[in-house]
Amino acid sequence: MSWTRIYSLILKELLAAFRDPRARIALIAPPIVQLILFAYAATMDVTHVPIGALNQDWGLASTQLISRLERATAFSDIRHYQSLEEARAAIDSQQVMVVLQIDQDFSRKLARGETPSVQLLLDGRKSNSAQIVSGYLSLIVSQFAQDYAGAQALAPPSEIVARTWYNPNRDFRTVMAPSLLATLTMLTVSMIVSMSVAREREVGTFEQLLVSPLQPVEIIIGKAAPGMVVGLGQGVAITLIVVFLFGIPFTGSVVVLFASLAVFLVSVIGIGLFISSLVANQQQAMMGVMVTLMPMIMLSGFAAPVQNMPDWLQPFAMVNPLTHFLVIVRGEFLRDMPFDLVLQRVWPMAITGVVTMSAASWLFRRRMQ
Amino acid sequence: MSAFGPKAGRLRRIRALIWKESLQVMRDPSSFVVGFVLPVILLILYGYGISFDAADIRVGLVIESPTAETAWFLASLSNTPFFDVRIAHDRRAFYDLLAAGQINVVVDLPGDFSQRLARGDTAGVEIITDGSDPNTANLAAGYLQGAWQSWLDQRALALGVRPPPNIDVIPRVWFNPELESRRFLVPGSIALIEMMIGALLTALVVAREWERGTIEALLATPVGIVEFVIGKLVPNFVLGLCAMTVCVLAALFLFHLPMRGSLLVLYAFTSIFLFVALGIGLLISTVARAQFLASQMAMLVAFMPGIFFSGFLFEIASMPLPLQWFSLIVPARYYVQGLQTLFLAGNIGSVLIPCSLALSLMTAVIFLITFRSTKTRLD
Repeated sequence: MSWTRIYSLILKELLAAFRDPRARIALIAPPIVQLILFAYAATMDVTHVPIGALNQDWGLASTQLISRLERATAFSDIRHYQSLEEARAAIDSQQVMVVLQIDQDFSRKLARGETPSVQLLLDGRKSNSAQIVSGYLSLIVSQFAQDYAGAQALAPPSEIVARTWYNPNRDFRTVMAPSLLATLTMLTVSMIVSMSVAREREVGTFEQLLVSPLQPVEIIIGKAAPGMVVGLGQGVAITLIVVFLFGIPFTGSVVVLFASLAVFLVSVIGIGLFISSLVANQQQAMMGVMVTLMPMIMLSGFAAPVQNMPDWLQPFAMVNPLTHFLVIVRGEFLRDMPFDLVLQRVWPMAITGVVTMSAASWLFRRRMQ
Repeated sequence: MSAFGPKAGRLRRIRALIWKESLQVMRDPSSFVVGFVLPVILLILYGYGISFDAADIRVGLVIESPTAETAWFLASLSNTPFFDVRIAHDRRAFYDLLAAGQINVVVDLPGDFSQRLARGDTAGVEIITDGSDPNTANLAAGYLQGAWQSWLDQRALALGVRPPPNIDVIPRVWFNPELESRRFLVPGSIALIEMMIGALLTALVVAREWERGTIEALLATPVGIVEFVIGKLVPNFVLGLCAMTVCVLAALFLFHLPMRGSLLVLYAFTSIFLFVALGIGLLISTVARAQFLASQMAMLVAFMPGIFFSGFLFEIASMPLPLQWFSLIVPARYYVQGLQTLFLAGNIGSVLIPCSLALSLMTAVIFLITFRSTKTRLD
């Protein structure tokens, strides 16, 4: 290896990546726009949704229950329906996802001390949201039942005292915004790396690079440089936005976070180089990146937790660098993750990086012979 | 001469162009990957891989002084199918596990739990959830509330005390009675695949001609801009419908989704969405004219909004108002809504007609802008 050769190659690659002003903008603007849009969009909380009410009871209790729903902040407004057909049509056309149906004998049973029932009609096309709304409704109804019994009841035998650590309001943005640090840098960096090799291959200059005195290792270092620079730059920008614009606390160590980011980027660059060593042109490289990255994002715990995945998919989650880096990012931002736990997550990413880069280097060399 | 008038020549040219482009698509293995392999991978992962249903919530139960009462409480937790319960006698034993993300929630029965119950005081049950996974924290808190309620009811029944007043809430779920998240994830992933073929692939294919300069060469021949565009779009349109067919077959036979709407409506509706996606791809390629830039723009404009603003992962009604307005111009929003309805509910005109109209309007606007900008670029 020659350091002057590597130095000039890195310089050439950086110039190639940043020379075109439109490409420069494409590296800076989209991640920031996406961070801001998606941090606000990515919530699985359900607030301000309209719900329906089908009240077939003429008693006082049902009116009181409904007025309580009107005061709940989770619901934007209550739409009243006169018949089951009307309620069904409203759910069919997705005007509401839940209708609360109160039967005729509701007030009478409640007054007599029996247990009346109410029905929740839920739209299963949105099963996650419908489940969350039905959770809210059940809580309101059971509180109403307790308050209705009111003064004559004794002190309740037990009560739940609920607390939430690390993110006291269970706010989605607090978790999602730091997670975007991992996914957005991964998307940009893997595309830069694989597209840059694929473009050289498409134009034919990659063969010239291979027959030059540069060794495959040196080519890989040169091709990795722009990805590393862009990834770290985006990492700094996103961290600043998350902390200062969104006001999300950073409880861990900045040094540990960025050291782990560097290892993560090495593994992402390795994956990008490996893809580019298999493809012949930019279109194939782009499709290769999509085919690799979409499953990686899905199997990382970004949206749905890893523990919910079936056993046969768990090994995929464990070799996926994004899984580990998401744990580190969330840990460093939200819960001052201890260093030994970070280390447990760093070495699998390092292994992925070494394996993919060696494979890419071997494939480049094989092409040369 | 009359047999090869301008109109006949045009048709012949279009046919030749479509043939040439189709060969190019078929020869490139990446089209096969995108059209057939990716839909299958995505559907299997969405169908089996990810789930929001939190079947195994890992609970750390702290019993500071074990008695018959605490054993009763433990039994009602263990009887709930959603929980995987571990027990300790000291709460500190679980704090590190909670920090490491190895348990989701700590339930603490304090030392005076049984004495307070015996005295008729209110016995507290302390719950600590891990807020760094809010969805699981919400589900865990909800399920624990249910287990706690059933413990109270059974205890009251066993002791012969009148149970605390209650109202039964009976949920009835339409269209998806088992509440499987796969049933709404599969239609969402179909939208992503169609967006990828329509917008991303088209943007790349056309941007390549700009990047290499072959578009000038092509347009110097009798081929007009409209013919060129049709030649590029038809193969991708067909590829999109093929991918759709793979998805429908997988959805029906692998995941046993019902198909309550008609297939004809499904294909017609998909075609409209593909027009929008192809139009977006074309517009991007005209603006970008380089493949890397085109791919970045396609990700930003078409693909990522399709994930975040189509309502299949995140509830649009819960977003801030400006983002709700923004979602109105995201085509995937209408497509996902229509697909979920077609698969799970049926041919419901009050959903499908407005969605189709919105998509058609978008198609018209996008193609108008594209033709204007392509013309000025070439002149």
